[in-house]
Amino acid sequence: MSAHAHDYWFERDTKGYTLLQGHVHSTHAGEARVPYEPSIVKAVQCLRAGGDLVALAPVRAYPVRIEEICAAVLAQTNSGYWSQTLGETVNKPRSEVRGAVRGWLAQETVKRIDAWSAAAARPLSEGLELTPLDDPFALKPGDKLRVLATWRGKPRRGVAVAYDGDTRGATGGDGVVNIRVRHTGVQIFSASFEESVREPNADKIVHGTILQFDLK
Amino acid sequence: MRVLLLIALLAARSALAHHGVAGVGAAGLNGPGAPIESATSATLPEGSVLGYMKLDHARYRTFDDDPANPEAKYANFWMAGVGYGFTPWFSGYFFVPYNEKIDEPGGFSTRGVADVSLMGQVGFKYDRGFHLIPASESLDDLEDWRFTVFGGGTLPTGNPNLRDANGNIDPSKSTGFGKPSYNIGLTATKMLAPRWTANAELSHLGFQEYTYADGNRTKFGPEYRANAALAYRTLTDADRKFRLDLCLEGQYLRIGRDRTNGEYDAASGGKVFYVLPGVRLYLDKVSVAIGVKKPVWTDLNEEADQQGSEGRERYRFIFSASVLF
Repeated sequence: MSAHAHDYWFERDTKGYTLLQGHVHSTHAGEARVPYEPSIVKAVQCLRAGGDLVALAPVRAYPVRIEEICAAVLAQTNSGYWSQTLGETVNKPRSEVRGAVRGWLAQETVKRIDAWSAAAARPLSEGLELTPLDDPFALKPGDKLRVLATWRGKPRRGVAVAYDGDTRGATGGDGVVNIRVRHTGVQIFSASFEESVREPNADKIVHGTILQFDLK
Repeated sequence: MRVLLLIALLAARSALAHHGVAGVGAAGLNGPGAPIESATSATLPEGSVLGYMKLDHARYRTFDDDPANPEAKYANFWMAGVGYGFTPWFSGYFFVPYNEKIDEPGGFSTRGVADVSLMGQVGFKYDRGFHLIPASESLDDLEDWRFTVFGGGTLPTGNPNLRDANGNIDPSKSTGFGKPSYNIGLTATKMLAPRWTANAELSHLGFQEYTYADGNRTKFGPEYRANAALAYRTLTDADRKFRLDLCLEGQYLRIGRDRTNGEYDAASGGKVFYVLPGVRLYLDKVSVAIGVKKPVWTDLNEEADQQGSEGRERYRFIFSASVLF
């Protein structure tokens, strides 16, 4: 499993954002929209046009709404424990699933950028996060974007990063990887890494993140 | 991530067949492909060790059925080597060749360890300017124009003074040059599309004059190569770490005349264009390349008298294998 297993994205309208899950922007098959429990959204950060970073209270109903337009918006999710048996994957701790062969805790961040600024070139959270180091809106198809992966606010080495679901590389010692954009429209970068844990409910924590922006 | 891996390199290149030099190539499951024989623009990952072996089997055309006039029949140019990635952009190599030059019955056949060679390779790329190859690159970085400059030389570890049954020395049958030779070159590689990679090599091999035990002085003619190749990734199985590429190379070789005692030799030198189709497969950290090389155009200086030289092969069978640790 990886960040690709949960495809979250923000849709923007005139009043704010809606957090959705599904396969609209996925390269793998699946339902266009997959409902989720709104309680999985643990926190929302909004980077305002002036550079202020504020915590917002999301509307706790499916689909989760953020009622503000931001230069960048980030949601931190925790979809809880997952367990895999020989036949299926269930959203329960491994200790509660008979025949579970592995279990994990899934934590993700989803970030959408709508306006570029120096503040947008810095991470907005302590979770795993992808941040462009250059103005992504200046890109043309075929250009490469320098992307920084951070965790707990620091560059993270060895994080596999995918573009449109296709893994293109892993971050180096500086946490940076170069990814080429291939088209205009919605850009989806995803990344994940696994943190081993020793507890009855899981073998590991899967940290995932999605970076989204639109390219005209 | 350095998705890359392996492969490699190079060749016994030769006028009358005892030159051995090296060039390099590398690739991963989805990264750039590599030619069968030409040098390519991949450097070894920092701290990695490459083990390499190659066989270049040259089968010569023969023209004289008279057993009293034995001709060169075939030659096997074996090479074993090791490479090391000192930095992401600098790799060093050491090669030990073993040559067999076999005549028809009654002729003068020789075999033995030839001149060992050392080579250094500097890799760089163009990405909004020229940069040395960095330690970490994405697949998208690997799509950039990539280049290497390489240089090296041989040490006279082979025997230049092998004598036939009559006690004569034929420098072309020796297993050594007697003195160091040098090799310099430039490569350029570009992924044209996710499955297509183009590669080019320009290189030069030069020799020094050596005075043989019989008192004669010989200097082999310099070699100039211009190679171009296309590799097409036909099959990739990520689970098995398997990849299969089809390759097609065109190799232009220009050889200068040899000189003996200061005079240019007849029946030496000329121009040859080879075509080399082949396949290269990758399995985890191992890469194997197989191809058959044929001269499709020749302009040798005295072609009728140059049996057993470059351009007069029926074919050359190329096999190489490498593993990266």
